[in-house]
Amino acid sequence: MSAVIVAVITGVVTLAVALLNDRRATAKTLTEVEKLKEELRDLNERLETCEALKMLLLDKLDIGRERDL
Amino acid sequence: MKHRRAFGLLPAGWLMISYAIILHLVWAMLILLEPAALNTTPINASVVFNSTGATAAMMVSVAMLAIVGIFQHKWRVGIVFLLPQQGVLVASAWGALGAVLAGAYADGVPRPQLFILADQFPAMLAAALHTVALLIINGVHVPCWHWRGQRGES
Repeated sequence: MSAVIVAVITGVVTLAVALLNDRRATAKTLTEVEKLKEELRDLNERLETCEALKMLLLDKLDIGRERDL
Repeated sequence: MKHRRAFGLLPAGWLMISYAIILHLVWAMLILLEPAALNTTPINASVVFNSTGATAAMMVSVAMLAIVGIFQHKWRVGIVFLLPQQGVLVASAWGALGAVLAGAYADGVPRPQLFILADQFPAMLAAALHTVALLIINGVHVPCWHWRGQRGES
């Protein structure tokens, strides 16, 4: 009977360790996803700034061409 | 969602579970062929029903559940199917430890404690390594183990 009790306890502990590990891994993955989202947002902002600068430069180029003509 | 492929098990884990499957199937066969095998130390500890047929059926069921567990894609389901196998191995190891401490085999044959330890140590080691294998398969980092078990990765 004691063997069965020990077997059940070992099984429960193994399951608990595996589940806790899974929860920790999930939390870690979620943190990484959040970090990547933040980076993506930052890159998007930079891209928008670059787009705006590009438009400004193109406008200036057009003005310069008109002046030359 | 965490998934692992069927046969996505790492080699050591897979080998340990295969070992236990074969062991329990052989035990079931031996119990049916020779009912006195019920009194051997590792089998005696896991006897719950006190009948050869029921014990053999239990051994076969445990092995079959483990085979089903291996093919589960969701590890949470897989580990539930593998736990009975671990239970039988741990019960055997507990029986072996009891025999060592008592200085007598389950059938009552007295022997020096170290003699029984030398004989029964594989049963204890198998239970410990099976538990480690289950943890590795489920991605738990086990210190001193060179590679980590990762679900779906190799």
